[in-house]
Order: sequence, then C-alpha cells, then structure tokens
Amino acid sequence: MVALLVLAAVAQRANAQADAPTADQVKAAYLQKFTGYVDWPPKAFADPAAPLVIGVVGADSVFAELSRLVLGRTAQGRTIAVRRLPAAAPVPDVHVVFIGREIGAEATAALLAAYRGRPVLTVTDQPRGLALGAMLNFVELERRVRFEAAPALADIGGLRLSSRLLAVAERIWGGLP
Amino acid sequence: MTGPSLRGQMTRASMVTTLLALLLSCGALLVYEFLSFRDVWVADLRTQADLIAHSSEAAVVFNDPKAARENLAVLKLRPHVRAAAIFLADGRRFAAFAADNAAVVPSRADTRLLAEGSRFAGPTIEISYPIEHEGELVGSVYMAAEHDVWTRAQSYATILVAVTLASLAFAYFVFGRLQGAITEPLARMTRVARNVMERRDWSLRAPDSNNRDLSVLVQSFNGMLAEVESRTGELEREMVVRQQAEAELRAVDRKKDEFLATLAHELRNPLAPMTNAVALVRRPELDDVSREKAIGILDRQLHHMVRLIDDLLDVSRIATGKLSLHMENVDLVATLRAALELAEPAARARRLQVTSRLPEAPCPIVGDSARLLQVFSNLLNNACRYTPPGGRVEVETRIAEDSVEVIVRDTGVGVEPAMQGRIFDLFEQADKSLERGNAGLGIGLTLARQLVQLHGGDIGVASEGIGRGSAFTVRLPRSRAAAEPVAPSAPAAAAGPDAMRIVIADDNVDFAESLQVILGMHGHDVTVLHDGEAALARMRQHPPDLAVLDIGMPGLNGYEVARRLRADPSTASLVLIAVTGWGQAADKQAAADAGFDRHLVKPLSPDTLLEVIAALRPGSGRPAAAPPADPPRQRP
Repeated sequence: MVALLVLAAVAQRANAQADAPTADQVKAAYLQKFTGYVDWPPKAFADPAAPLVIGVVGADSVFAELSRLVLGRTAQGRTIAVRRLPAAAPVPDVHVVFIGREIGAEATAALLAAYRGRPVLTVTDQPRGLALGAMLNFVELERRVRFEAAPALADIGGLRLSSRLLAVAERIWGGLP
Repeated sequence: MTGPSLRGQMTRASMVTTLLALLLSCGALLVYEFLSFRDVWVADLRTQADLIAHSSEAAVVFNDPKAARENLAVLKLRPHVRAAAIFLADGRRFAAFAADNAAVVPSRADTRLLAEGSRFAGPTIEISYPIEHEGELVGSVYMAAEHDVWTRAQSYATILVAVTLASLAFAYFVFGRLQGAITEPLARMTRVARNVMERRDWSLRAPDSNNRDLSVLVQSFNGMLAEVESRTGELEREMVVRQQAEAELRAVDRKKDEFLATLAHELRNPLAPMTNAVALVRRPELDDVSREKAIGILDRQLHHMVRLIDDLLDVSRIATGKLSLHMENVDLVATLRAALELAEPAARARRLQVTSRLPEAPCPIVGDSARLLQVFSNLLNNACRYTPPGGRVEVETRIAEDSVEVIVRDTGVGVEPAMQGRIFDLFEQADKSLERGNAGLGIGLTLARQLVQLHGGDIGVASEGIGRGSAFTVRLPRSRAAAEPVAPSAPAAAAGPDAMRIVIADDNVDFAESLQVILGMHGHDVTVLHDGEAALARMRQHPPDLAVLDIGMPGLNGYEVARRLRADPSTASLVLIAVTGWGQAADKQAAADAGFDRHLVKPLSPDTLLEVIAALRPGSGRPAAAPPADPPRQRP
C-alpha cells in the first residue's frame, strides 16, 4: 500500500517535471517549503489553530502558483493560507511576506522597514534584497533558483532560521546571530 | 559371542547424543549470531542513512546537489560503505558517493529496495532510507556496504567446532569415569557368569555394586546361583544315597534269592531219609534193630526241620519287632549247663571233646532263659557242626563287675578275617561249598546276635583264619538287681513219670494220637477224643487227673469245655492245659478266663508238654490264683 502510494507520488512528480518548472513555480515552491525551516515565536499566532499566513506583494504568477500549491498542505501543523498584501503598509497576522521584484528597491526597503521587529519572515526577489533588510532573498545562478539568508535580521524579528536551511543557502549575509 | 560390548555401546550412544546436542546448540548459536549481527549492521547503516537523510532534506527540498554531495562525502570515514546516493522522489539520482573507482552507484532509485528497507546480496548489504519533508516523501538515501557477516560467521563456526571437539573430548573423559560405575559391576557379573558356565562352579559369586538397581540385579543373580548350588548339591547327595540304597537293595535281593535256594534245599534235605525211614517202618518183616534205626532217622530229621522252621519264625518275629523277651532273674551257669547237655548228642556223634570251665556258684543275670539257651545251644551246635571229628570245643565264662562274657571256642574250620564282620548278617554264610556239606541256613548266628542285642549285650567272633578254629564271645550286662536268689532254671530232664489219667481232646487226629503214644510211653493212661462234646461227656463220667484241650474244636470249643468242667464240682479241680495255634496275649488271657491252668502254643514239643505235666502234677503245689507264666521253651 505504502509502496503504491509512493509510486503514485513519484509518478505525479515525474509528470510535473516533464515540462521544466518555471522560475516562478520554483519560487512559489520554495516559499511554501521555507515554512518548514523557520521557527516563529508563539505570540506570532493568535491561537494554536490559527493558519500560517503567507502574504504576497506583487508577483502575481508566484501568488497564483502558491495558492495552488498550498492546497492540502500544512506547515508546522497549521494549514497554510495565501493572501495578497498591499505594498503601501504592513498588515497584522501574517507570517511570511514575499515582495515581488516589480515593487522596486525603495518601496521594498520601506515595506521591509515597516515589518522590521515583527515575527514575519520577509523574502525578496531583488539583486540586493538582503541589503534592503530582507531575511531571505532569491537569486538565480546558472539558471537555477537559489537563495541567500540573513539570519541576524530574522533574529531581530524573533524568528529562527534552521541550520539546515542555512546549509543550503547560497550566501549567509551579516553573520550568524 | 560377537557384537559390540555394553561399554562400547553406551560410550557410542553418549557420544552421539553429546555431539548432536552440541551441533544443535552450535547451529542455533550460529544462526542467532548471524541474524543479530546482520540486524546490527542494518541498524548501523540505517542510523547513518537517517543522519544523511535528515541533513540532506533541505538540500533535496531546495535542489542543492552540492550540499547533498558534501553530506554523502562524510561516508568516506566509513570504510565498509562502498557506494551511496541520494535519489529524488521521482527516482532520479540527486547525489552520489563512491568509495573508489570500482564502486558502482545505481543511477535510479530501486523502489523495491525502498519498500523493503534493506537487502543482502552476497557480501553486500544495501539499504534505502526515505527523505521526508513535512510528512511528504521527497527522496531517498541509498547505501551499499560490504558487510563481514560471513567472515564473522566463519570465525564463529571455527570457534564452535573447536569448542565442540573439546566438549566431546571432555564428555568422553567424564562419561568414561561415570559409566565405569555402571558397566564395571555388569562386566564383573558377566565374567562370573562365564566362569560359572565354563567351570560348572556354582560357588562363585558376583561382587556387590553401589548402584541400587545393579545391586538388586547382582543379589538376584547370586541368589539364583546359591539356589542352583544348593539344589545341585542336594541332587548329588540324593543320587549317592539312592545309588547306595539301590546297591544295598540289590545285595539284599541277591542274598534273599540265595537264601530261598538254600531254604528249599535245607527243607528238602531231610525229606529223603524220612521217606526212606517211613518206607522201612512199613515193612512187616523189618527187625527191631532196623526199625529203631529208622525211627531214630525220622526223629533226628524231624527235629532238624522243626529247628529250621523255628529259627525262621524267630528271625521273622525279630525283623517285624514281634519278639518279646520274658525278662527274669536267670542263672547263666545253669543255662550254659543246659545248653551243653543239649549239644552233647551232636558232639558225641562227631567224637568231639567238649570241655567247660564254669564257675561253681550261680551267676545271676536278667534275661529270658529260653532265649539265652537258644543262643548258647546255637553257638555250641555251630561249633560241633563246623569242627571236624576228633576236634575240641570249649566253653568258658569271664565274670566282670557289670558284665559277663561267655566264650565258645572250637578247633574247627574257622572264619577268614574278611568274613568276620559279616558273619552275623542275615543269610550270610562263610563258605557255600563247605556249608553244603553241613546242615544250616546261616540264620543261626543272625538270630543269636539279635537275641543278645535284645538283652543289651553283643556278640563277636575271633579267628586266626581258615582251619585255625574260631572263638565266639557273648557279652551280657549284669545288673545289681539280679544279684538275688534265682529261680531254678528249667532242667532239660523231666521228672520221672508217675502214671496219670490224661484226656486229650483235639480235632487234629495225628497230633492227638502222636501225643497219646508219647505220653503213653511215659506211663500215663491217655484217652483221645476229637470233639468237645465227647470230651466233656467222657470226663464227666470218668474224671481224669489232667486234660489237654484244643481251643478250636467242632461242637464245643476248648474255652466252653473248660468253663463247664470248672463249673462241675466233680471236675472242678482238673488240671487243664490249652494247646492252640493262637499265641497272642489276648488268647492267653481268654484261656485263663475260661479256667485253663496253662496255655501252650503249637508247635508243641512232647518234652515241653511232659515238663508242664510234671510241674502241674496234682498235689505238687499248683498255683491257683493268677495264671502262671509260660515255662521256658525248651529247644531240642
């Protein structure tokens, strides 16, 4: 039975990979998977049953892909919810914020500054995202989507990045907390 | 006997058992070791795989093959791991590790291995370990290692073989010591059994054992041996006794045959001269001298036959225990004189010189005078018979404190030493050829010895050999109670005849008439009647002085005649003598009850009757009250 399930899963994935995933699809998947390597403080959730909310600013294709991807998935025992967020001001009760590349460096830096100190994992897709104040930032190397991390910034927000996540990060910025 | 010994069989059985037990335990140990060692290997590899899976999860999730390779590279510290790989969930290889160039890393995941977890293939163990992220299978870790399970199993097997051999050797040694306690008693018993059968020696015994069961076995075995020994001994003893008895029976049977032949001969011997004499007497022209000679022949031969038959009867009575002695005080000297007197005619006939050295004083002893007279006259008769004419016969007495010896010595044929012990046995005769020339059955000495022994004495013979004469010694005990005056022994000679009127009543005509002749020759007036009625009538008419009555008579029997005579005053004082063939004590008592003065048993010699008549002569002091004892039987 287990073997059949595994076979089915492998077959599904094989189909998915058949047409090579786009960069946005990979980013959406990474966003979803990041939730498994980050520890939020308990106060970040209103109650134990509260869902883990991923907010997306801009990046419509990533939002669309992510919305499809989280269906039926959980992170740290919580259901995952995906919301569109405004670029103007921070919103409460959100745990991951992804700011699309089209938002622009200044606006991104401002928004990051607004979220600073809050238990929110901030992820950008800018060439200097970490310098703007993001905790994680997507980079593309040799046509592969990679990411870099600033665990010290995450620490300021009360988050803790897993060492395993850091082990596969392309670059650690700002030293370890 | 072939086949394995008990000891060998027991040793073999125990060795086989021990070996099987050891092999079984070794096999179980080996299998257990193999399985547990393999499990340890699997567990060890899985731990390693778990570590790699955990650390490589992020690398797989975030598609970082480099990090995954670095994670796998730590395996180079594990020399047993030959190859390793990380596969993605779709089966594609994500990262690989090879210990050296020879190692082969599969390019795709083996889904079956992933389901099984681990697989042994020869010297290689392969495991596959899942990589999961948030409960989702994202890939798998594959590892291939060279295990040394077989090497280890071989080492184990070598050790176990060595241990098994050592255990077997030890078991053999220990069992050898232990089984000695069991097989050794059995072996000893077997040896004893074999010796018993080979030597037929039932006295052998198996040594006892400490073992309880074996002890029972040994004791039973010994018990059986003892039983066989005692029964065999009994059988052997019984056989000897039976053989002796059989030999004795044969000897006695042979002697009886000889005796019967002799008896027939002896009984027949006198008949020829008697027949001749009777024929002579019948002839009317015979002169007185010849007639006297013929009658003398008849008389001698008759006496001889009577003696033979008397001896026979006496021997038979002694043999059946019916002979009893009338013990009284007897003067031995007087008895010897009587015997000498009786032997005198024979001695004279053979011109023998008979001398006697007897004491003047009486020699009182306790005995049956008639039987003693029989013994001595027997010895004297023998002496006369076996001594050639012109020889000498001597009689001598030796009186001691408590016994008296009578020695009868002759110069006759003698007795050879070998015969001296047997001469007194029944039917034994010293020399058959010599015996044929003389009269005799060979029972005289037997009778003499038995009579002497009945008196508590014994008799012996001494002879220097054939032709050197012999000496018979009779030793009789003397008791102090006997040293008192002795009733005069019955003399051989009867008192002179004084005429008496005598009636004889007997239905045996010959007997009655022969008595009439004899009593008539002694001057008595004798009347003969043949039945009781006639006798009674005759005696009532003419009362006699004395009546000799038979008991069994036609008409009136003797008892009735006596009772009626006693009842009649005219005949009440008659002297009555019963003469009958019945001699039991009850018969004597019946006679006394009927009124008889005397009871005489047939055969009756005329001398005895004359003696009794003389003793009972009316007016000679006839005892009236108790019936007097029988007078001694006079031997011719």
